[in-house]
Amino acid sequence: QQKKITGTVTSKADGLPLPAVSVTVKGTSLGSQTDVDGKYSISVPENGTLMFSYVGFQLKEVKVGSTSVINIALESDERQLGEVVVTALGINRQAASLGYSTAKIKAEDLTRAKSASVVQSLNGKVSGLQINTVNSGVNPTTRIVLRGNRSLTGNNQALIVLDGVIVPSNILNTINPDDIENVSILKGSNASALYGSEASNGAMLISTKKGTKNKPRITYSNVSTIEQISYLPSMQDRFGSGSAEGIATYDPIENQQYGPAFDGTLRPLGRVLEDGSIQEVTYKSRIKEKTNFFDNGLNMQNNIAMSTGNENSLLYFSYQNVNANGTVPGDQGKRNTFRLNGTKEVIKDLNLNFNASYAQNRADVHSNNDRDNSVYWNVINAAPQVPLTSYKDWRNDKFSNPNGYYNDYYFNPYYKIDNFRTDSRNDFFIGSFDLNYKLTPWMTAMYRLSASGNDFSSKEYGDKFTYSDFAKAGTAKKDVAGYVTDRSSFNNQVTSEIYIDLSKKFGDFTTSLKIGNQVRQNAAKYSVVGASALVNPGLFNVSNRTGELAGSESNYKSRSIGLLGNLNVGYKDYLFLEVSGRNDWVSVLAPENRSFFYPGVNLSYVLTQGIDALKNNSVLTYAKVRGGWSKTGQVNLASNAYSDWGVGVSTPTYGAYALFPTYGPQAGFPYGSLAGYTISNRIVSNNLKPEFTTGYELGAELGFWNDRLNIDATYYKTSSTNQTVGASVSNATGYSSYLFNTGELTNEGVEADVRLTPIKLDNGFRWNVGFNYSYNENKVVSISDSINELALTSGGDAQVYAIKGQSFPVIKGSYYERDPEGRVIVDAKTGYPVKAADQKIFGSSSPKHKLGVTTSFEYKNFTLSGVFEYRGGYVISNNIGSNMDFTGASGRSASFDRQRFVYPNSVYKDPATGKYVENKNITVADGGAGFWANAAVNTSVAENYITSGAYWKVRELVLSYNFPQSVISKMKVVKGMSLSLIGRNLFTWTPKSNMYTDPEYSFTDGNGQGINTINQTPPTRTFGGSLSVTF
Amino acid sequence: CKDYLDINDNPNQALNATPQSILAGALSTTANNIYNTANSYGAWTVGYWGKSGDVNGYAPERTYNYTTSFYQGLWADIYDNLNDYKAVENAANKAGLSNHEAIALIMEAYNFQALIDQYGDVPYNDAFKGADVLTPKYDKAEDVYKTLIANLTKAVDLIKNNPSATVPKTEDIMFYDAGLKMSDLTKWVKFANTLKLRMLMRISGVPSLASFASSEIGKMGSVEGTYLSTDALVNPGYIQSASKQNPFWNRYNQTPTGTTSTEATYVRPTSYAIDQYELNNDPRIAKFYNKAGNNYVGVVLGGDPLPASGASSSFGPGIFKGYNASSVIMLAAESNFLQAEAISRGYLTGDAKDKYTKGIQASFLYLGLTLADANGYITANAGNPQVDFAAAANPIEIIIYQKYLALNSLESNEALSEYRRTGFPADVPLSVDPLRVGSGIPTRLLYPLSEISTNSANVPKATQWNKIFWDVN
Repeated sequence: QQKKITGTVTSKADGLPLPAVSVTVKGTSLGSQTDVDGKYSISVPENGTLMFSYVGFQLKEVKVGSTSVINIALESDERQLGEVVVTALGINRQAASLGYSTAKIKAEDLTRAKSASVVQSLNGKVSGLQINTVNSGVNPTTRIVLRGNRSLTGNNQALIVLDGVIVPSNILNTINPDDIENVSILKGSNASALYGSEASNGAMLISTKKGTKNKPRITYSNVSTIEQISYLPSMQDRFGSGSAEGIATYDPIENQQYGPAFDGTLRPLGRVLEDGSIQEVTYKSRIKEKTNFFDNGLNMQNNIAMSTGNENSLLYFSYQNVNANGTVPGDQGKRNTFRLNGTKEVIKDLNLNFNASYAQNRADVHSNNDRDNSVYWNVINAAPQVPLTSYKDWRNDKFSNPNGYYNDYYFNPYYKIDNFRTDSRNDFFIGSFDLNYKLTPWMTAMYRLSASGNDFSSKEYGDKFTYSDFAKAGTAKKDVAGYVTDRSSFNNQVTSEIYIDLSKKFGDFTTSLKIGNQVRQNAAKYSVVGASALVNPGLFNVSNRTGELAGSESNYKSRSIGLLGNLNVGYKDYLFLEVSGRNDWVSVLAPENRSFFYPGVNLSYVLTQGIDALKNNSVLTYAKVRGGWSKTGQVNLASNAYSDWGVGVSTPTYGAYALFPTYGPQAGFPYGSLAGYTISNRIVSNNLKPEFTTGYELGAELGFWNDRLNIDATYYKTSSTNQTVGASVSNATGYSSYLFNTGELTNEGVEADVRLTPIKLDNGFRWNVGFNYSYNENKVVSISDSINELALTSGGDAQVYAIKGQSFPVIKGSYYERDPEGRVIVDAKTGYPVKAADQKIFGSSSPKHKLGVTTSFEYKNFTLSGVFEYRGGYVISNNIGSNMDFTGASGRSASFDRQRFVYPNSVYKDPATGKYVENKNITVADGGAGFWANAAVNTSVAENYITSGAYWKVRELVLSYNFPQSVISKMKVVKGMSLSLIGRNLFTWTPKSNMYTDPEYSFTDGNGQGINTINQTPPTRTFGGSLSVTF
Repeated sequence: CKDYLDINDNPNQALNATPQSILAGALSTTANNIYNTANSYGAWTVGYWGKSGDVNGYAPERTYNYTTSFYQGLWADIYDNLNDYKAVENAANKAGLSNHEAIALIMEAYNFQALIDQYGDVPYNDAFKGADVLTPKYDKAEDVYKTLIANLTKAVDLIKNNPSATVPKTEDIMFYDAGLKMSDLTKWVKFANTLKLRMLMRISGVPSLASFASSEIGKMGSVEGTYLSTDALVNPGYIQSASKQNPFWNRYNQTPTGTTSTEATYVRPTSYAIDQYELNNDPRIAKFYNKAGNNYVGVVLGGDPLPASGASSSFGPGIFKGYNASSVIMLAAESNFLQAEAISRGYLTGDAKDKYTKGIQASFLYLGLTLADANGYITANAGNPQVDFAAAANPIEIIIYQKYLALNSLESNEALSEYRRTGFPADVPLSVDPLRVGSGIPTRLLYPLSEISTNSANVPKATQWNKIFWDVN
């Protein structure tokens, strides 16, 4: 007896209907398909079994019972034997045939926590991948590194490829995450070498949505989140204003917090104002004022996307608006992103694909360009008794106005954020089209032309402020002249590519060959003009100035040509060989060094197919081993044209014009008609060549119990030689740095990804858990005959270095002298610890261990998921600690109640015997400012502020609910709806010694990672909700 | 393909520069390095300066606890500047610009001497070889001194023996003569001689070098017309604009925008320095300092508590002559005091008292006073052994003492060197900071961190208590 069954098939991940799902009756040839709304109807014999199958989803079987409506939610498939992976140059390969490690992240995993930034969504999800968000704020900067650093001073960041086109990495922060179909990570250069000389650091391939073969489907989503300061450094709340050494003395105008202990009395704050009044406050802690200073930042994303298609064309369009308010009052960022992607079969076998996107970014933020302007510094500098948040109305309130602000030396932070700002606009256009023609069944030709452009301008300004004569008289208050700096840049990239693909089967052998040619040009122009004193307050234009107009311009252009070939041979369905080679020609090297070649080879063997004894094993259901060797060249001459454009904007030179020393104008010149020149401080080797990274990787992939447990493990080792190093040299050479090829850096590591489904019940409850672990050990084998260390940063008491024989990079800095037993030596007279004359290495600033844990609980339409991340095995330098000790804000500076104390675990040298004697009674000469704010014995000793960088973070926590089809089907126009509660970076745990900030933070996104400064803002957490409706 | 890739010509910066344009830049930089940086170091160390109560900091200055990063920029900046002079010397030599070559040699000597007087042994023979010698060896300071002295002789000869060589024009921002519309080369010769005299006097106390000094000084001939009688000043055309002001004014007085410079309120004269003018009724006091209220108020180096900047004297109009005032390279006063000492010691023949008096007069003139003021000061102090040459027990002591009064905050590094060489003024106070280390004033700077990290095999060990080779007292 036949029975008619109807229903809707949806995707479990997003609840949306799935069209064209094949619905068959098990054991028969009867079959049907779902329509564009995911609906089907089929006649089934009673007690028959329905099978639902769809590419990329797990097959589902349902026994027909008494009901006549069967709604099915299909789960996407974690891995199928025939799964296709997009590899370099868009080559689709069977996962089984790959001889190297890749990771694929699906859109749903990427966008679950609804970050407006793609990069931050990748955190903790892939082994070998390290993302550092180097600062918080409305337009955060990130650094993306795969498998450690390979270049001492050159680029170490992964190559970003968007829809097949190499793009500058700053484009990542402008992509609408909802546009992304999936992300593939090619971890090693084995996988990415075909992209050419920039791919030696691995690559991240991002594919955007192309449209679907169905009726127009419109999705609207809203994400609203709150960003909030997650923690501030440890601060003392017992002592108020004062700077005197010796006896703590209250000083009403002082930012330093070395005054007497709070006693609840009424005390003056600041000076007597011109009208004779003076602010008085009770002398007690108002430490919460510092937290209260920061806002809860509201972040709102609105996204609308349309996707449609038919048999021979697909179309996808989206618009996203992001509106973010920062935690620093007044900070604001906006983004508008448009995307249009499409595919059209022009004539039979000729396909046209196009992608176009335009992103507008606007940011209006406070200027954190130096310590004194830093909002963080001015907040921390307010003594605990200061009612900081009462100073908002600096224009009208006499105690908030600079004329009457209590502090002589630093500013009311509210005045700073209103008057010292950077306004920027940063627009990106990316477009590409390609024509793909299938000449014969075994031969395809493709041509692609793509371009990306970035148009940037910003205005950084500080307003003029003239103090009253009264306020200036006898005080340290000084007029503020005001300034304006106007920057603009344009850079673009044009790439032309031709590929020919041949594939043919010979008996048991499948072969495919790709040959191609890439031609690329990068060009940029930067200009900056500025005025250092304004005439009229409030007018931020360079014409509104006194003094000369300052300015400069620079122009860069570089070109490269690449020829490549890639051959794949497969034997049966279990043994696969890949051989590839590429030759590059680049404009930035001397003609004789311009051309360089690099090859690679990879092998993969599927044991569960190749060995009969392993076939159809019910426990070990999948096993594969793989290995590969490769060599990649990288031209590492690129640098930035300007050191800091202030708003996370870099100014790449593309390596152009680095070969010869130059003569630049001497400081101050020209004076009128008088020119004055000076030789540049860098000498350049006359024979610069590319850096080469050679390495191999070995790996295994194992699946147990039909993929209930998956293990993917990799071992790799690479050696990067011929480093292009701009080494500091003795000033007596006449120069300060020397750019030449030298040195070797090795990286060795293991990665393991484990995916596990411990519980999977028939009622739909399912618990998934995944672990991704990476261990990377790198070593500077050599730098050069005469150079054993290279400073990657400069200026402070601890700096980041490359040092021969050490991990890369390491933090080296000043420390206290110690006796052979490791006890700190103190001066027998003063009791102060003795700073050693030299510096020592404290350890690597790059985490050795990284562990990501992803987990999800699914039950019916609910999913609870989380991402946790651990990093460890490295140190960081918290410069903020030194600043806080100087100012007396730190909790550390009150650890001995500002009393004289015996320096813990210390010794002194007995003058009589010359031996070290345990110090039990020599207290420091001054337990207040004399010690804690003293550079010579405390604040310039880096050791005091270098801590472990280890942390555990709750990166993401998301609870989502997909409205069931039974509810949706009652609504006419709505096809799917989901709700979620989201939290990001909710908690961070660090060791007790790190009292300062998020260890991920760094003052740079360059190679000198590991130092955080006061010019940053405190770490934040984000939480909120999201609603998505599909029509 | 080759043409497509041949696009690597630098459109942003020049690959060549003329010796003339490098010379102008180099002279301006020397002014900044010596008059601004070295002068500051000397002023803190030899008792002219202390800090106001406005600020903490200046710890090495007041504790004598030096580090390898203390004044490390001085080393780097002088070598960087010397590399430009080397480029001028080499290019001028090739182009037959012998006057330019001579000026480069003279300025090299001037800068190397400043370097050696703070650091002792320095790389010389291996220096400026670029990539060919990345870790230059150090040469004995004494040998370098001798070479520099020989180079000064060579420079004078180059100028004198090549009368038809091109005379520098406006690129000579030191001795350009607006009337001649070109350099006054006679002043370059006098400057070279005076510099040589300075160096020879400095080493004259070293027993093994005494006869060398004596014979070299003897070769220069008569005191009249040989040495500088005018100030050697540099001015590229300072204007009130960012990085274009007189560097000392810019750092310690006013920014180009007319606001007070950061350090203007931090640095204050010591009461010791103020006393030297006040006790002898020296009219220069009003040029060196401004009153705070009704009095000149100084600070004590290392003292605590200290008066706020508003309650203590700031530097006066003789030191801050304007954003467009010239930078000091060498004062005529110094030239005269050097001659007075050389005569007193018997190296030169002449009237020591006359040169001594001319030294005081030149100092008054530089500060904006008159000859009458100077003579009045001398007359009023008749019999005062700190002013009256005839009344002084030791002519060397009074000459160095008066030189100390003349070089205040203008050539303080030279005053520091003379103090180390002669021990005068004998009562320059030590810092009173409780954290002060050592029992005297430091006698040198430490080799900089940059040198220790890039040239460690060669850099000699040193503490701030080691003496420079000429410091034999």
